[in-house]
Amino acid sequence: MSDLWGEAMMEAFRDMMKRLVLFLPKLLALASFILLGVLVGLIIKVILQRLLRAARVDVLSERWGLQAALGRAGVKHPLSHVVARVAFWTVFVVFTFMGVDALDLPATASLLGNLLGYLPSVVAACLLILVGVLLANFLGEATLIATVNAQIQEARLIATLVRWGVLLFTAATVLTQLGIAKEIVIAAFSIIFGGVVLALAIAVGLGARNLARDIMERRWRKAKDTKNHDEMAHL
Amino acid sequence: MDQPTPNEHAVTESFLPEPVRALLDGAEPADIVIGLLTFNDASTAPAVARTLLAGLNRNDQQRILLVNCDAGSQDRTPDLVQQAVGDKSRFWAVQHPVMGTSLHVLSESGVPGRDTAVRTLAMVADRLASKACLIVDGNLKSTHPRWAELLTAPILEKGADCVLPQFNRNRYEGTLTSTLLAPVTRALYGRRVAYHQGGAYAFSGAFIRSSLLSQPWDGEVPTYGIDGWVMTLAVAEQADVYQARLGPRVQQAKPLGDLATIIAQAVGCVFHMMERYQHVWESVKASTAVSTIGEQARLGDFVGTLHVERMIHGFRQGLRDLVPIWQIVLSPETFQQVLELGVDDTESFRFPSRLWVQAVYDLALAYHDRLLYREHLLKSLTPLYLGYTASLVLATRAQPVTQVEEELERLAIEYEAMKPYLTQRWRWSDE
Repeated sequence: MSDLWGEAMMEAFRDMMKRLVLFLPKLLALASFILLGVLVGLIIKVILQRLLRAARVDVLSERWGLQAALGRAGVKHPLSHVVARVAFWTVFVVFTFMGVDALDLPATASLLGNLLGYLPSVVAACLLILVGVLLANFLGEATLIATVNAQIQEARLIATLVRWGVLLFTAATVLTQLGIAKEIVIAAFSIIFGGVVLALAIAVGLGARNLARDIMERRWRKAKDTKNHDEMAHL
Repeated sequence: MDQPTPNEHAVTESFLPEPVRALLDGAEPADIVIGLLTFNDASTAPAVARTLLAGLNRNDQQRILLVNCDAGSQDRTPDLVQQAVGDKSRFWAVQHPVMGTSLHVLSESGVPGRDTAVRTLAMVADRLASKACLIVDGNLKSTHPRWAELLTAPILEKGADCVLPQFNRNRYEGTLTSTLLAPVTRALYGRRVAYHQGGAYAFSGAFIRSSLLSQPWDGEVPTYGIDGWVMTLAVAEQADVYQARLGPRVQQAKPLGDLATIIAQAVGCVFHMMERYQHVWESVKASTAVSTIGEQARLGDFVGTLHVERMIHGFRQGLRDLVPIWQIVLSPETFQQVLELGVDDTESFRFPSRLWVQAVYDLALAYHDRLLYREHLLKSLTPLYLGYTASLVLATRAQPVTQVEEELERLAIEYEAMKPYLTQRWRWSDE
């Protein structure tokens, strides 16, 4: 009895030790990958941050209104810092997934493959967000200045509508790119965009019919309308 | 500067239209080239051509060539000019190319592609070894035979590089020029020029060769408009500049473009040149008057209507809506002072000169630092300009003309006095 018990114990211990011996290198590989991920990530972060600063990306992002947009989203750091940090975490996550893959667990099989397969969509979405935010800020700013100089009272409202219109369009494009609830996004976007256009059409066509007519008349008969314009040459 | 080699000639002249190159081949030299810029100016251009030739033909020893640079008139302007000139004078009719990039540029004369016309004339004058090149708008109604003499005499007799016009103005005419362009140019480069854009001006052959043709024409001129550009260039290059008092400038057409576009192009030109000529203006400490010929005239009385309330309304709206943009482009101190300007009572509204100068210098610095997309930055100046102009009108409209002249002179001195403010900050931003 005691022999059997001893043998079972030994068998279990041997099995355990065998599995442990087989698993330990994988665990070590995971730890190495994590450590390597931290090191490579930090190196890339430092290099990228320096490169971006040398390329005056922070100044450019401020000028293009990207910094302000980040600020509104609660990000207080300069763009170079944000990009460098994103690069660090991307590298770290990729290395960690490699480590997890090395564990060879059935649950995590093909994790890295799936991740890498999805990566192009994520990169494209990030680029779309960047371009969308820049375009929204630029067009919003241009609209605001033009409408203020034209002394249109609703300048801020018009500029905000332009800005959010571009952002809405960007958000719909990004979600479609990522493949998240594609049909719902397209339907929602169509409803919102169509609704806004319809609302504007009704507002202008019915509510502000006279105002619209006045504006168009003023524009097309500008030459005849000298009542409110200065007869001074500025140059 | 050295004469260009034949190869350099070939490169620069590839810009010239084929008919102009054909005219230049084997053409006899001309001492004076008169460039007449036209676009549908049949009612005025023939008279302008006759008047200028009458003014120059008093001296028979000069070989004169009149070149009509036309932008493609539909009213037979070149034919009518040719008829007016007759057979006694040398005459070329040239259609200058109108580039797509220059279509949006405002032009006081309403001539599209005005930059390419001036460049064509400069190249013709260079190839014909001319002593002087006179450039005049074809839509002027107030040309006088004396103009040709006033514009060319300093070049031919005194060796001047460039003769710029000084027209008689009414008290509130050209406020952007008198409150910004002219005083900034004076403070920067130390030359007191009236800074009239277009109308009539002249260059010496030497200046054309050494300074004008060597400029990056394709890059910046289409953006800023040729008249302000050549004006600033002449002053910044420290050329020997003369001013000719030509009397009134009466044009057939009004300037094109809305106020914000005018500001963006005219002020943008000055700010752009500031970056190029930093090494020149940094060391300039005071200004001197440039040599001026012709009869002196004071500011005339303002004729027409002025809507000061509308200007203040424009400023007030800027104060309400453009705060996020002004916060970026103005220094905190200037921004705070602008916010504190009371606009409740129109009659008592005042925009201090010092604050205006500070705002202009802040914008120049913001332009240099590229704090905002440059066109937006320049256009955001419009409400501030309206505010200052309204204040100037309110402060002086009940006063005699001399008061306006004194006010503008005080402003020019303020620009000079505050130049260290600009220079120091400019250097800090470069460090």
